[in-house]
Amino acid sequence: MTLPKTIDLSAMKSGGLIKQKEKDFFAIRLRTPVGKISADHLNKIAEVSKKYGNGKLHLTVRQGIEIQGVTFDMIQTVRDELEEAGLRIGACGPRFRVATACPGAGICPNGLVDSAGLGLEVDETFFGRAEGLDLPHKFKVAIAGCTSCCPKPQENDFGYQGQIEPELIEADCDSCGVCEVTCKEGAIVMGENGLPIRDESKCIYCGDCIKSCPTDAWVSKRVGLAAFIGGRFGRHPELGKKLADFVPPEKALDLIRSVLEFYKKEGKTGERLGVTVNRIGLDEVKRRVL
Amino acid sequence: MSENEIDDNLDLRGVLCPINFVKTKLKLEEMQTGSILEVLLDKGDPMANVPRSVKEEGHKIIKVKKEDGDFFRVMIRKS
Ligand code: HEM
Ligand code: SF4
Ligand code: SF4
Ligand code: SF4
Repeated sequence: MTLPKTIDLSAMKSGGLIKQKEKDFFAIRLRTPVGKISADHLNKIAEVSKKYGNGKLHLTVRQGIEIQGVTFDMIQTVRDELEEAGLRIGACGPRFRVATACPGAGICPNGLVDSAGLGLEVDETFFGRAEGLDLPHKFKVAIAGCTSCCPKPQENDFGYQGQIEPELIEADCDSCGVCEVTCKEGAIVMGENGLPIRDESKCIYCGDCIKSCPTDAWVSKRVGLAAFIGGRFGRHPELGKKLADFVPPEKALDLIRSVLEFYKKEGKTGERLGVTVNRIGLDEVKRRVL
Repeated sequence: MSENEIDDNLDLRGVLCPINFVKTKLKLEEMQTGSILEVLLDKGDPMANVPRSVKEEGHKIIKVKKEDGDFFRVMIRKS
């Protein structure tokens, strides 16, 4: 196979090209952060796939799209055409991968935080080389808008999940008992004085009591992000461990940066963050990154 | 609140989510603003979801009463 003159080899190194089993064919992985994509971009992808690929696309488990069946000599052309339309190429290898997130508060009735908006910010900030850190291994982030955790933040190297702390305005409560039957954690029982009592140790900060109270007696004391660290799938799956509760959304990028710097310093080449965390111990990690 | 202030009622015991909410919504749509609908809802998912959705639609839940037999009597004022 001869290399086409126009191909930019340094651009290839940034990843997003997957060699197919079939000789000389590649799949091109696109960067579609939080799985949000415009209809125009989808049309463009369809057009490129028919023109240069085999008309088949793969929807990845991490909200990505891959254009399959592109021959080696067409890669640069495909890249250029996609980039002209404002579409970007994804990552493979030891890179900060495209951030995933659920639609969150803007769309989902359960959403407590704007997970999609935060995911886009995270992707814009760290995608690829993680601000030049060049990490020991791949790094995946997922952000969930609420405690249902649909996009699986605990299965990623780092995850955020929206949470809300309820507070009772006693004067507004008319003792109906709805919050007691609504709380799935059994954290609320009606006291003898007719007011609900919340057991902090059982509360998972889902906010169902706030949403269900007919008189708005339960209100939000604070909204924030639970942070999980060290989750992964693969051959030896492990769920991420709770790193912190109620990280203020405006500090969300700072905490990720702090974790990345720790990983860069302590992680052995080829070691996922979860293994590093297990080796060093969660308490020590907390002391270092929080 | 006495029974005669209720303008309409729906017995939604045994009706699953989200059909119970849809029935409540449709009933409220055909009622006058300010009138009162009483619905009977099972505890569990129906009670966790219907009052909340009714509230999100802008109506006011004016009374909730727990009844024997694991259901609730919920009064809603249409807005
Ligand atoms: C009204 C309520 C809910 C809405 C609107 C909703 C919405 C969604 C959405 C939009 C996704 C796709 C996320 C993505 O990949 O971007 C999703 C996936 C998921 N949801 Fe929910 N969700 C709801 C309730 C729940 C609850 C209560 C749970 C669990 C207790 C749950 C568990 C999941 C899981 C595990 C997935 C991932 C499924 C997969 O991998 O294919 N969801 N949900
Ligand atoms: S995690 Fe919560 S906010 Fe996000 S899609 Fe699931 S239910 Fe909605
Ligand atoms: S926030 Fe959720 S878990 Fe905590 S008391 Fe309210 S309903 Fe229960
Ligand atoms: S749902 Fe609201 S009004 Fe009813 S008992 Fe709970 S706090 Fe009080």
